[in-house]
Amino acid sequence: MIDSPEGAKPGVRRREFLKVLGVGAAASASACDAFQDNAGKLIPYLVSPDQTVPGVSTYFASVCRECSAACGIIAETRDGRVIKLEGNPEHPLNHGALCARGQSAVQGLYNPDRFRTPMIKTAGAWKAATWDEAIALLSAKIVEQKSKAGAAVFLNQHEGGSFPSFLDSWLSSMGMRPHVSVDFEADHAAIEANKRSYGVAWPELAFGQAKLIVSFGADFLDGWGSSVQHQLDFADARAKGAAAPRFVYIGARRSLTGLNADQWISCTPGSELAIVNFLQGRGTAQAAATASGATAESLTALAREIATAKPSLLVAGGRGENGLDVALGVAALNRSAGNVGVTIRSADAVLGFEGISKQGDLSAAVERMRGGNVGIAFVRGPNPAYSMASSAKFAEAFAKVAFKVSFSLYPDETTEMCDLILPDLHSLEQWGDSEPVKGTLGLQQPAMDPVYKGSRSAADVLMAVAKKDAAAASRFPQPDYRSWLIARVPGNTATRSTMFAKGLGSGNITRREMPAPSATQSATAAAATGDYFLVTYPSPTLGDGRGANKPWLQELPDPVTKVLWSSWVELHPETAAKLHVERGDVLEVTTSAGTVRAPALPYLGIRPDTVAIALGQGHSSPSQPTYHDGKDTSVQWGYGRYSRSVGINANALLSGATNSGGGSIATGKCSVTKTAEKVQVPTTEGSARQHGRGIAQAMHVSEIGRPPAEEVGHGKIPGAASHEFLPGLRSPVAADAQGELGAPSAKNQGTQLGMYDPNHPLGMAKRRWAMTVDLARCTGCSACVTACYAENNIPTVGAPWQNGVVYAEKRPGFNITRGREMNWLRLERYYEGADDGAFTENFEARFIPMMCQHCGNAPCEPVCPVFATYHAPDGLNVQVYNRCVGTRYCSNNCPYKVRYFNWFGYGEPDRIQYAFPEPLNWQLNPDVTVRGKGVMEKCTMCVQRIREAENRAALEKREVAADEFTTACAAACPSRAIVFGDAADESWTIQAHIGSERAYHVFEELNTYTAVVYLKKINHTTKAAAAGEAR
Amino acid sequence: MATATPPVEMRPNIPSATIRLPAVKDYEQVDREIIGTLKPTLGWFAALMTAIVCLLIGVSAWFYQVYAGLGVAGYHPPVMWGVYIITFVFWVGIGHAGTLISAILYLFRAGFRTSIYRCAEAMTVFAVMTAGLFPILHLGRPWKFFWLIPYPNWRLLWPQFKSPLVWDVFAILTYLTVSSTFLYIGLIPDIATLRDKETNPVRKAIYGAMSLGWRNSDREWRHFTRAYLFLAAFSTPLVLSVHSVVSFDFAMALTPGWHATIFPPYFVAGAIFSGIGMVFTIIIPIRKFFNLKHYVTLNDLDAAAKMCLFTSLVVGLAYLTEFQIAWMSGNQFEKDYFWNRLFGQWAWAAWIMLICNMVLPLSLFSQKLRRNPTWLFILSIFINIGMWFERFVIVVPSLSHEFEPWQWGSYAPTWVDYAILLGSFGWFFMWFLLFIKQLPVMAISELKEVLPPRVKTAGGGGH
Amino acid sequence: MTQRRKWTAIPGLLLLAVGAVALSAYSGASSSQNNSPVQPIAFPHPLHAAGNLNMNCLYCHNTANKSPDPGLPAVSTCMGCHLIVRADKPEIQKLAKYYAMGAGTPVPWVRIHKVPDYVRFPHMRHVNAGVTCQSCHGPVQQMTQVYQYSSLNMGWCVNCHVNGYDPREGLKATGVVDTSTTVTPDAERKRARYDCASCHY
Repeated sequence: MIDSPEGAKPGVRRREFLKVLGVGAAASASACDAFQDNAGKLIPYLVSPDQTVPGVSTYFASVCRECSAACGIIAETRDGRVIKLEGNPEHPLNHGALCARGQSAVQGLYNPDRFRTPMIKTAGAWKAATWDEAIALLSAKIVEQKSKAGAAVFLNQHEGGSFPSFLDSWLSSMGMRPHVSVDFEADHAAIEANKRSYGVAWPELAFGQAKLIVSFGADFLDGWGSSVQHQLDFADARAKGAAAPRFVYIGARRSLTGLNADQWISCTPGSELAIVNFLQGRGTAQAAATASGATAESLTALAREIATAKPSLLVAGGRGENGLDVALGVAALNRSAGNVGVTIRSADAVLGFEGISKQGDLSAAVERMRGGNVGIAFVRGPNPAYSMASSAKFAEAFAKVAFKVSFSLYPDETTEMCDLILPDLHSLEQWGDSEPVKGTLGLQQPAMDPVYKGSRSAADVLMAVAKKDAAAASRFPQPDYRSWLIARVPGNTATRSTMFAKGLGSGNITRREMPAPSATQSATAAAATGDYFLVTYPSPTLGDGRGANKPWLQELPDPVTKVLWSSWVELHPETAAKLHVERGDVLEVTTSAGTVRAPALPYLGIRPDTVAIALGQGHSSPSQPTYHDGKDTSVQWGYGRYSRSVGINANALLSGATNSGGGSIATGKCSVTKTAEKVQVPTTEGSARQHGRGIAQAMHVSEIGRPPAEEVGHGKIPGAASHEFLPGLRSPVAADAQGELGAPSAKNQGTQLGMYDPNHPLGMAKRRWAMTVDLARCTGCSACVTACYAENNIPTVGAPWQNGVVYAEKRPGFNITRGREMNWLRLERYYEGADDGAFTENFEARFIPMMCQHCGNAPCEPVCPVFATYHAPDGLNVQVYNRCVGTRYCSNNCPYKVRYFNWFGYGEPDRIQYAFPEPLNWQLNPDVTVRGKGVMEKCTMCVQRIREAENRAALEKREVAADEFTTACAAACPSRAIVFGDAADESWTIQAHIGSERAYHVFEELNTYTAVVYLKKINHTTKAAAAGEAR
Repeated sequence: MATATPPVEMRPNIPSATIRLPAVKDYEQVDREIIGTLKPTLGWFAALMTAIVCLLIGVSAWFYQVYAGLGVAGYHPPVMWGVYIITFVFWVGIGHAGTLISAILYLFRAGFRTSIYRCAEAMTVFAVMTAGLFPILHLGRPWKFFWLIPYPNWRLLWPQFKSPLVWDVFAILTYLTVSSTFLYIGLIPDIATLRDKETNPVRKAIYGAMSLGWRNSDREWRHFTRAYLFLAAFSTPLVLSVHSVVSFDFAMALTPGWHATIFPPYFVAGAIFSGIGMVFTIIIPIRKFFNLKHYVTLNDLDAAAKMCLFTSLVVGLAYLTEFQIAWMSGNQFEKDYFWNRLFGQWAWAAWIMLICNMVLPLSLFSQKLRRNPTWLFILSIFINIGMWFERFVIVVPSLSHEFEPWQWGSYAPTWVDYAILLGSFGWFFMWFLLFIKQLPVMAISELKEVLPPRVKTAGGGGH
Repeated sequence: MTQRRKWTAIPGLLLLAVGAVALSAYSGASSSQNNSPVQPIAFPHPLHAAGNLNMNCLYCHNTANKSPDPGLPAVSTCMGCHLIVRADKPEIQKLAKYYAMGAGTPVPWVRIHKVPDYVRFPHMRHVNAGVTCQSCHGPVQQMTQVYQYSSLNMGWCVNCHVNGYDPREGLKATGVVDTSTTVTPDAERKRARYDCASCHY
């Protein structure tokens, strides 16, 4: 295990104190005061500081920095440690929801591979340094630089708020040119088009207002733009049932967004323009069809639909060669359809996307570096040596810089090339601000002490450097960045304190004035070599690769392919057959820019003439080429132990050419050849087909309100339990715990039920916890999965060293190829239609979150020989870890297969398989037992939250109020698809959903009386397409 | 079946004939030859050592598994049970023939049991001892196994009496107790004989203690036969009950392929079948190497083979019934499963099972083969393999192909599984080898019963 | 003959005995009850919680009634008085050394009462239900060196949850003299839910 990041030096810091004493009551001794001197007078969101109680959570509102949208988050801290992130309910963007990447910020905070101290490279060898040395060296170099008056380059990970202007003023005070604000995930062409057409970088897209949604390769559910906001709005729109908008997706590959569409119009990459032109009345449908590979019928139908359905919402992604033209054309369509101002609102634009430097500016900076006259370069945040298209080119240019400084927290590729590392603080540890929408201020405030004393806020470092320089010092009178920032916050102390409390305030941030964009190179597209189109896309889970060092995100299956801990090449089964390729055969994909080798993955949702590769994997390091062995405590170059050597980096395939929108081109042509190698692709998918078992059910929109067809056989057998779930679910648990016998109708009901007696004096059976999942809302984004991992201390098991057994090889995801993933809540993705694997646009994907159904009549309960699993009176199917002996009979008897076994000591620190190496274990939820090896575990419906609510209520001498709390998955869900509540109490929201005409139980015929009710998905397919789909 | 050659030539002594062991002249010969088998030989030592080595391999593999976690075994969720449960059922099955042969055949006065029942009984006890280990060593936390036993404790907790696994505990322990008692009671007169023949004082003392002071008096014989009869009657229903209970482990579950009412009779038949298979595997080498051919006559083998054939037919019927029920059930889960069993990813295992247990034993319709020890031995090996795979086919494919398609999986044992499987054979044969050199492999007293009574000479004589 | 029979019974009896011993050993009766470690500072509860000071437990363990966690007093709390009071006593000087005017380290008290990690014991639920501290922790006000008074075994917990807590017994535990011999009516005993998931999750 890694030595304590705190070292052993004394101090009132309560974390060392914990290290000395271990957890428990004693830990709280100095918590309050330590907390105050650590974090200052931060006013928490729920509890005021003078009531801060050890063992009870404190909540801090802050800003999420995992992508440019800057959602509002609430950090739950316990005894001074952040243990969970949730969305800020009052935030204008995410309204309390939070995506998987946002959730995983804590694993960035507690990442075991963070730098402990500043480091200086001398003669190619890294040495830990003190801050004084480091800062001295830096200012020396800067002075030297000034004298030489050579150009300096500062690459900063794009973020809104005040920091950019702070940085520019610092740079100018140092006589350096303004920084480049880098965001490799940004869709520059779309932003450019938005600026030109709507005057803002990212207008609000009001899906809820639209009657028709058309996306031209804009993956607004996969992280394109402010995806949580888009998803909330999209789900609301789709939940309208009959009034919901139809959704048509146009593109070469069905992304997660594409799979949520009612209709897919497949076209070759780049040919969207032809379609847009046709829709604008230029050219015939036939011409467009031949140019794009789509069918003329579907295009004419689409044109008709756009003409009739008003208002509509058309969005376009611009990663292609002609991205800007497509985006502009679509904007024109929107204008002509009268959508601007209705479904596209510039007024509530997402300001986070303002001020992103064009790819062109970055390329220009790179060229300057290649020129060799750049004396000093700074990198804060981005990792261009990995993330930049044709990253090799960047590397060689960057190497030419005399002195390179990195503020990175993690040992990434770019940092390894630098000469000085000044580890920055994590966004959860430092001050900042953002302006999510006009007039609203989001305050980023530290939720806890720095995990490592050795890291320091880059802003503070820059100020320290400035203070060494007489001229610059005058510009920064404040002692530190915090006071500099607070000074800028509008309003008086009173308004500020409320702002601290809510994390939100009103006011505007004066943005830096952008330097004139350097001339964007002409779109020198990759020479069209090869017989397949290539599509690369940022991974919905790992983004541009910055998520790859977080085990939760590595273990989170890709929402579309369900592959994890790996890279893969998507190609259509037809293509695969043509190339005699099977799943797992390693393919060699070659473009003019480079070559990568990755296993093949046949996928229905891609054109036969196209192959696709996700970005985000394939971090590497020249100094440490192999996997981490689980023990090595040295610096883990290659972006940390969880990402190094996992998968391949598809940026190597891209030429780095930029389109006229200033974004790098993510598509091209490639040739594909099969190699002799074959690997097993780690996936959580068993069978992608339902085999008619009605797990994820759907109904056509036309069926809404129509009485359901009479089911045959139900209730016909004498003595058979009724299949009506409502009585079972509404009544106290005992009723359905014992099937028909305990039903209210039955004789002696309640008299022989013991603690299940609804009238038991202790009221144990008063409540009936239940859950509904609306499949019409669920988009399959998998945020709930990560939320569950975060809340319930679920171990990740896929790291290469975690199958640490005698015979087994080290391979990422090895345990998962053996089906041993621990996802209490998994997101299943079933295909309907296209059963023969032949290419068709008409197939449907259904997403269904599957967790323990908490059956009232659970098959797992009677078979456990030791009562380790039993039925709690309040309707929960309980797993008692400490009673479990590990016969695994319960899992064998579970029809839903939602029980997970601890094959190894994932929760035991002294084992190679330990899933929470220090300090990742600081995130562990103190209210949830960390399971040892040999016991079964499963979804508990967040029983710890139930107890917490009951305790709070008891403390306040009241009953638990309706909708007072919810489970982690429901809280995170950006589609609001999951609703948790008390089915025995009419006042909870869940009641409305249980009664829905779309409600059903999975495997109802097994009489399990599940407590989880699913609401059927609603399809808006046109009749033609519907024919191709099973129901 | 009729044969051309005259019966007397071909079948020198049919079971009903008065002279059943023509080659055995008198009591002394019995004593001499049977007790003669107790002299340790080099070959025996070699065999014993091999067994112990196998056992040690298994034990060390298990220690490793306990330390590292069950993950070292080949479990691949949803297949949460694997080689260990398969082997458990396998050994429990083996453990059936013994009691059947010694108890039921005793009640039915089936003559051919005389020479083989001692081996069968010993085999039973050791097989159950082996089987009993597996439910413990397949646990995630084996050191907590005693939680399955109802005993007063501070937690005020009891086991879940609804759980078939708890029933297992009772069934196995009962069966172990009764069958070992039965074995011991049957041994008493023979031990007495050994005591009398023994010269080494230490061994004599031990035999003396074990023989509980048996003096061969009429009164003792009267009590002995009553007790033996009673125990036989008492353990007969156990033969049926134990494996029925074991089958409940599966039949009580929802899992397609398990959830079937046919399981109890099906399992009992399978158990007896496998047990007889193992009897052949054991008795034929003994008969050869201890040259006891004139005790275990071809007639005996013939008769046992007929029983084997019969049970094989019962088992085969059960297989077919399963498929037929699934086919006509109209239950898609069952249908899918059985289709998958026969033609899907597990076809190879299913066909091994069908061929070894259903097809090959049909050869026993031929009397030639019934009376051919070599063939019987080869066949018995096939039966052992086939019966192991029967349990494999029941456990693994059912779990790997359950209700939830998203969770369909596969299964492949690892070296740990195999090592522990090997260890179980080591454990079994270690005990058996030790047994055959300490105690007579055939019931001396009963063999004497079937000899023509000798005429008392003046001055009497020892027995 | 007869003594032979007796003689043969011996192995059986032995077996039973061994089994019984093994089971009772495993039956969870083992507990760290009466464990009384030496603390870094010999804090005399009798001086504070009894006698003329007679401070309330909640003065120092100030979150026992609002958090699962009873809370230990911050060193500053102690120094609140001991900056002046008894500042010359050796134990107090130890304390002062720890405190070092707010720059030192907290006192590393040795933990005595501990339930396993898989057990949740919310103090506030019990305190607010009127369970006196002494009912579980024993007469701390008389302990010169605190020891574990109760077994903290599961049976011990469940017993109270099922059969109920007698407020009068609780008061007696605090030292209140109650000579009346009447038994508390069953209705007045405080019971609590007893399904596993109340504490194990």
